[in-house]
Amino acid sequence: MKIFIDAIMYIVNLGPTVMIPIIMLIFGLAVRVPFAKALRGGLMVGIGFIGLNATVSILTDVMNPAIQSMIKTMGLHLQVIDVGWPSASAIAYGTAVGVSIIPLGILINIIMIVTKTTQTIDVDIWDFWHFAFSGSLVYAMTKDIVLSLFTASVFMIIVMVIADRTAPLVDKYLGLPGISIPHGYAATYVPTAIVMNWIIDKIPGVNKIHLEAKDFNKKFGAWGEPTLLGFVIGCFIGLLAYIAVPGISIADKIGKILLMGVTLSAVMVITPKMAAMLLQGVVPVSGNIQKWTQKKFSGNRKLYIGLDTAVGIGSPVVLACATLMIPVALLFAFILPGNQFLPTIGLVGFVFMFPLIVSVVHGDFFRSFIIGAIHVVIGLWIGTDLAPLVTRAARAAHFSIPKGSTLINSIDNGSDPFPWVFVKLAQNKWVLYAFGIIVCAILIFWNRKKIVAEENAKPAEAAK
Amino acid sequence: MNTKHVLVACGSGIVTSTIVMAKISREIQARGWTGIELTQGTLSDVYAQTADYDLVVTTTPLEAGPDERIISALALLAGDDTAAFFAEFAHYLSLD
Repeated sequence: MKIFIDAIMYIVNLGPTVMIPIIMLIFGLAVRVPFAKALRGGLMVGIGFIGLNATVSILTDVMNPAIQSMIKTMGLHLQVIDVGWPSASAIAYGTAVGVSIIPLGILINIIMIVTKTTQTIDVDIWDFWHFAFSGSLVYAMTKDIVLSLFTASVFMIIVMVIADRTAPLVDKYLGLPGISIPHGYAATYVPTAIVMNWIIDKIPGVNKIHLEAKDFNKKFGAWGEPTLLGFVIGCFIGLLAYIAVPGISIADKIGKILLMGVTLSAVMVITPKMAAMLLQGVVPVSGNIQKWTQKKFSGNRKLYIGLDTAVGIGSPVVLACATLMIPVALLFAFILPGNQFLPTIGLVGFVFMFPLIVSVVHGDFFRSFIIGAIHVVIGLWIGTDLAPLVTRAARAAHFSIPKGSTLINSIDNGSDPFPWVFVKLAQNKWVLYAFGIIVCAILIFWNRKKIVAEENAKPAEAAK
Repeated sequence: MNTKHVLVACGSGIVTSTIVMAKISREIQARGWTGIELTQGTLSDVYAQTADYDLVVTTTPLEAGPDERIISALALLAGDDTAAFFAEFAHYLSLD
């Protein structure tokens, strides 16, 4: 065990741009990708890392002075820079937990399938990063690798059970038969969404409100388009930062504001391209794993194919809610007391939180909006609270973040309930161990009971 | 021959669209189709600029989209039978 951990730590300390190509090459060869293809894949991932690192630098370079200026001239203390989930995922994969998460995740999935504690074949290997992200935050705080891997495992087990239990709703309300969504960011809202939906049901009047989403998208569906959105938000932040600065001419101020707009637009457009390059390197590996697991486990048992939350965003309600969250997040960032988070690049990622919320509320637009908005607003606090840890994890993953006041986080992942709960519990590691074991034990026994009951019901029906 | 432009869109133009792009490119090569240009994008691109493309492929079944030339690549992600998808793909782009 010691040698194993030392070997991982050595590779991690080389930094992700060297480490990840090596790891991906090893994974590629392990799942029988030809050598040249595996090496090219590994290098693409390293290239994506360097690209994402560069976009984070571009962003922090323009945001830092703007934030300082906002603090001085406006008294607005919004000093947490939103780097967006693509960079958050790179941070998660760039740590010791990230290195271990792909084999660990596959192992957990296989054990759960064999013991009938899940019905989901999770072929969405890439999104294991959410589990690694929580683990990485715990690692940044405690430096305890066993506890951090435990955290990632607990997160995954909870998400697998949520995926199984929401699959019938995903079929009915998102039109995705045979598919479940074991996705950390989408599943993190399910427990609280169920509670909030129950409360809304009890409020007379409010429980009768229904809205239609389809026409909304025809009018506003294009608003989340990153080129224009980035420019508008950049100009808005530039305006707040530089309009009241004494001693510079109006022409200079306009110049600074426009520079901010174009730069934010650039980061919003370039970031996904860099992340997509990184993904091109992951695809040969995850493709082979998918082929293998599906061949191995598809057969007489009924199993869901676990996919990315992106397969559920075609529902009009999902898209409409995601578009509406952009103004909600921006507005509350300025008026919520105690908030220091300034959402920017991550604003386009809200779309991924909604597929399971929409399923839980049976496709209702009004309820999805209310539940989403409450989470986004509370998420600003969570994001503020987690920012120092995310920044520390980012530095550990060799992201070049300027020293001093700069903090980074991502509005669409560093502000979720699950990571926050794990981090809070990790302040005493035995509390986290106890919590993890008890919650997982209850969930997997409950899930197994449901799975076995369902399997027994099938032959009985067939016999009739 | 005119180049045919295809937009491949997912939530943010990163994860599922990359997987689908790889599978479509491989099939295009295997079948010897030419003159097809794939562009990666987001669902909001679909609403903003569908008119600029001959065909839009989304990684999610898009309900009530802005146009009719939109097909879902869900089968490519789930690893199901992909023949139906490529039949539709070929039909919209008038390929043999």
